[in-house]
Amino acid sequence: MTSLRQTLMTHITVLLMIVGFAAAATAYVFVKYEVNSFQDNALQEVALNAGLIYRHEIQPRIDAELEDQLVVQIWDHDGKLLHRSGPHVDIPYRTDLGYFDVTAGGENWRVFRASDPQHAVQISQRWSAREEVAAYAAAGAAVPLIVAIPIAWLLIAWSVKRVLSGLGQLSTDIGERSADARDALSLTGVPVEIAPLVGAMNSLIERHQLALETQRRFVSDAAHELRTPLAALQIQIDNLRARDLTGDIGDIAIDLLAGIRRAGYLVNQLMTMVRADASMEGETETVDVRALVSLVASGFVPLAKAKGIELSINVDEDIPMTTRASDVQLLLSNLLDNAVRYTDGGGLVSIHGKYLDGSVVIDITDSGCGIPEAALPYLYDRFFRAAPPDIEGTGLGLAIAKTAADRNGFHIAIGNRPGCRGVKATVRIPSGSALADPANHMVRAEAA
Amino acid sequence: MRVLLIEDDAMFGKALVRGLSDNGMSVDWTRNGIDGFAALERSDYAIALIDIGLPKMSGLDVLKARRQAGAKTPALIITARDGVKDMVAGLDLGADDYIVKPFELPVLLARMRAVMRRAGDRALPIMTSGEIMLDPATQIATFRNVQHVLSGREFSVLYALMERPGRILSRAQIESRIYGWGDEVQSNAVDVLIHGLRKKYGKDVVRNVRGAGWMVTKDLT
Repeated sequence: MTSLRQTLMTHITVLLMIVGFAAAATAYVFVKYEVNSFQDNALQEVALNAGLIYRHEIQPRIDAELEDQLVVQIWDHDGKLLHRSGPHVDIPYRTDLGYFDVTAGGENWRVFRASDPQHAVQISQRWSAREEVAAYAAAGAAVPLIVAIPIAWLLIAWSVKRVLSGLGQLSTDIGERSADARDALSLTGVPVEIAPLVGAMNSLIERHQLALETQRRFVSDAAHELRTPLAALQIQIDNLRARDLTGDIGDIAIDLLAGIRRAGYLVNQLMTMVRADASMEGETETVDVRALVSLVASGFVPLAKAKGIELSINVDEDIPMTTRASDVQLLLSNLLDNAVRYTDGGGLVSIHGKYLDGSVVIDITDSGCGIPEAALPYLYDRFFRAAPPDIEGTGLGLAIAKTAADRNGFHIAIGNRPGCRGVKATVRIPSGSALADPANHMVRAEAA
Repeated sequence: MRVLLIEDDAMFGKALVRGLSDNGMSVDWTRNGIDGFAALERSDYAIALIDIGLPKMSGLDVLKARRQAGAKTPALIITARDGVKDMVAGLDLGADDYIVKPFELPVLLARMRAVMRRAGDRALPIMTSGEIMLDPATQIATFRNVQHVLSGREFSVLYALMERPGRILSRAQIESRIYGWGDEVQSNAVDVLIHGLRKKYGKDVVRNVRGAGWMVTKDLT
């Protein structure tokens, strides 16, 4: 995946550097050439002026550094040196006029020679000095350009960020959407160029919702339609069992009955799932956690009793909770159903409820067969069954529980109990506004 | 006892008719709402079992129309719809109970007994009249501590009489309470059943009121 901002910035940076360095290099070369010719002209001026005016005794007024000083030599027409100033380097006498380069005293010199009928003047300058001046001048031209690169880069980065911030908001919106969100994405703050993309996404969301709705309706219709033939089978098997069936036929009838019951249970779970998926209905209400847990647990008392399982409830008193109670009920009953289903006779299923850090925390622990580690990531998948195959189930219970939890912002965690047999399921329900004074409840809970 | 079933699904209807008949009931089965409505209008049923999704006229409409006409026949809705809205609508339109498919036959029978018990204004599951007790759940009649398992027809006659002890039921009324459309009624069939009951429990339990019909004595306690 590529980041628009990163791509833009990479391109801009590379271009900025190429252009900047090219401009700086060009400036350097040109300025250097110009300064050199300027210095040449200066040499010429000095030679001509020095030649015309014989200034033997005049001290240089400019206190130039030694390496910057010029060597001035003046001869008469007999070749006798009349004047010499500057560093003590013996620049050889030349007969040709104009500019030329010589090496003297281990250094390269630029020399200009001029002559009139009386004198010959020769001005020499160190190449290193010339180069230094030229380099400084060229650098003076190039450095601002180079400094401009990072400044321009920062400005561009800032403006690109600004332009893309609308997109950032859009990505946050998309990121925070729940899978069930039905409303279209907002176009506020989205650049015109990106708007069609958002429009296309909105239409995709709409189509996706439609497909989802169609699928839900199909499952709902299918489950609904299955009920009548299942009911017919159920009644037929009841009719059959009412007769005196002996031996194999009686056994077959009992097996058949178990199959029909299982299919009936599956159909009911499917209907529950579709309903849990689709509906957002149900008002929030304030309920007492203990009462709600007792209500749910009471439904499992007969089954637990029949299997010889001890069912224990230990919920702190007076924890009110403002929530969609029907969803909490659905969630708890699915978790409790699993706990009772997968616990053998003589086992223990316990429900523990307390108020903790702004949430109602309900633990359901069992002493059943546990969950294979490899199955843990798939627990909430529809029709996934981690349990031993001899225990009946549809693989929909936890999917339903998860749907109910997600819709309300509850948190579920299911895992094997550390150090002992069985599973612990924890539901964390952020308690609503009714818990105005949680500290009070904590105190009461501790006192209890 | 005579039961009306309004159900369009052939497979389910057939199974249920067999199940109810096995439990001693006469079942009239109509396959659409209009026929069901007409049947409810014409005959006296101990209970009506009504499906909601029916051709021509929905079960809820049948119920609504009959209740508005003042009919008191106990009604139990049998449906594949388990939505809260459907249940509330069904009960508010006058159904006495609501059962969702699939269900087990014993559950349906118990619900039917409960609905009929309430309709007969009885709280106790066992009917008593004088020295005789009748348990609708088992069709066992107890008379002076002797238990008899009654045949379906015998039970139906005694049930009809014991529903309102002290009320006289004519031969035609008893016939209409126990025979469905498919049953061929012999002219003296009711007499034979009554004769059988009187032989078991004595003439004081099931009394003949000449020219009017039969009754059971009202419980004096």
